Amino acid sequence: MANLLRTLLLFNILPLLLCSVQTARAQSKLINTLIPDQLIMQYAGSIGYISGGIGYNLWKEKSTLSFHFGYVPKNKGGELDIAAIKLDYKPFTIHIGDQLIFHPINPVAFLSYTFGQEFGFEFDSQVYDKGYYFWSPALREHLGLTSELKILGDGSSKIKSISLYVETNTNDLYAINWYHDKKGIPFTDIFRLGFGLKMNF
Amino acid sequence: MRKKILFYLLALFIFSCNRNEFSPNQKFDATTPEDVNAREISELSKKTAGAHIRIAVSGDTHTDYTDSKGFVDYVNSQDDIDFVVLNGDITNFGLLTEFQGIYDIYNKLKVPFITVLGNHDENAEGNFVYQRMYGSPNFTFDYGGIKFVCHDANSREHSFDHTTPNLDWLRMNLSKDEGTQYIMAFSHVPPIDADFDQTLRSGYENLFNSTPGMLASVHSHRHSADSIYRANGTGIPFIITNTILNKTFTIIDITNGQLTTHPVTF
Repeated sequence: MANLLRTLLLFNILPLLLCSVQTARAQSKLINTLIPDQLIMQYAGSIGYISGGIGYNLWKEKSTLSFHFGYVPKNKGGELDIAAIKLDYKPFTIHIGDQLIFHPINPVAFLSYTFGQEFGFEFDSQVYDKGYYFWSPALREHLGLTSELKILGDGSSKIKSISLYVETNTNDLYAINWYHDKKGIPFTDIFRLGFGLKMNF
Repeated sequence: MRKKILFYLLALFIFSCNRNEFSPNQKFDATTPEDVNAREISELSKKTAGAHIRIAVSGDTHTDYTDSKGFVDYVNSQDDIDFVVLNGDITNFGLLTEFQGIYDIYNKLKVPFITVLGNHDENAEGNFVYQRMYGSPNFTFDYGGIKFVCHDANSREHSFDHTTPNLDWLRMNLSKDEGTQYIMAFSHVPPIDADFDQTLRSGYENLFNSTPGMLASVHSHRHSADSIYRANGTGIPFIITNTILNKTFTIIDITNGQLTTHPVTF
């Protein structure tokens, strides 16, 4: 995640540095672009016992791109450090009264990367011939669905609204196991839950 | 109508998946059993061995739950099997959910089952998962006058650093306990396989062949029909058994130190 953020920053900052003439307007625009639209806290959901993230709205809030960092403490099955990038899409919007917006079913895709000695990006080529183990221990590709309830504020606070969401996801390895024994592994068994809260600015 | 369908879908996906997960790589969760091998060995010690000992050796279940269930049902339908060995490769990726999936199935066996560490099980945090769930990868137990020596022979997972199999540990443990006359070894990777540290192979085979009362060394890993070889054509049999993926396991019968084997397809 650190690398990605760096790339993101570089792509935004470099053009400005190269320009000798900068307008204050351009600067404020850059800052506005970089300030996240959301702060996210999540429990479980395969990216940590607890994880924190920042999110950016895309396509008129139809979609969110978010960056997370998660941690599993030793007494919860760790210790593990995990970085994740998520992209979701909210095709349905249901207004309930004046204060609630419900996005019932939202596809989400994310990548997670587990840091640490046991988790190479790929297996050591000195020990394993190419293709001996085909997967990456560190990088997981996840697919899932979320359901999100947004509670609108009254406009007096900097936090415009708060979203509560539940997310179910599976990953490439669970899907492979399911594919090889569809009879023995019910499809729903490969999904895992997470719960989260977003503060929208 | 659209809303109804959406709500239905929502309820379905929330209630159908019942598990929180902190990471696919987490080493345990609230429901993970601990020290299963010690528990099963304790169960086995309560049994009284007859003159004939019959062991069902299964291997390489990976995450083939369907055939693993078929195996468990078959063994439960028999009444002459003393115990079951699961000789490694319980998982594909060394993940907790895979260990638990196979455990849940083998735990339905009416007879005790002893689980040995395979090479796939050492991936990611698998080594830790195994040790917390089952116990040490190198361990021994006695039954019916035979000492069983189970150990990690997955050299490649230890980068061929000449520590695995641990010959020092084997030398110490390949001695008869009080009340045992024979010794038998279980490990996942056979010495003839490229995944076994070939610099240790002759030392390993010679150690087994020079151990008094040694009956056999039993392996799996190769996913092929049962085969037996003897180092340099003499000495104890090195038995390589089939995989549960092929709906096949191996029966080992021991009577007065005489050992016979035959594959069973279920």
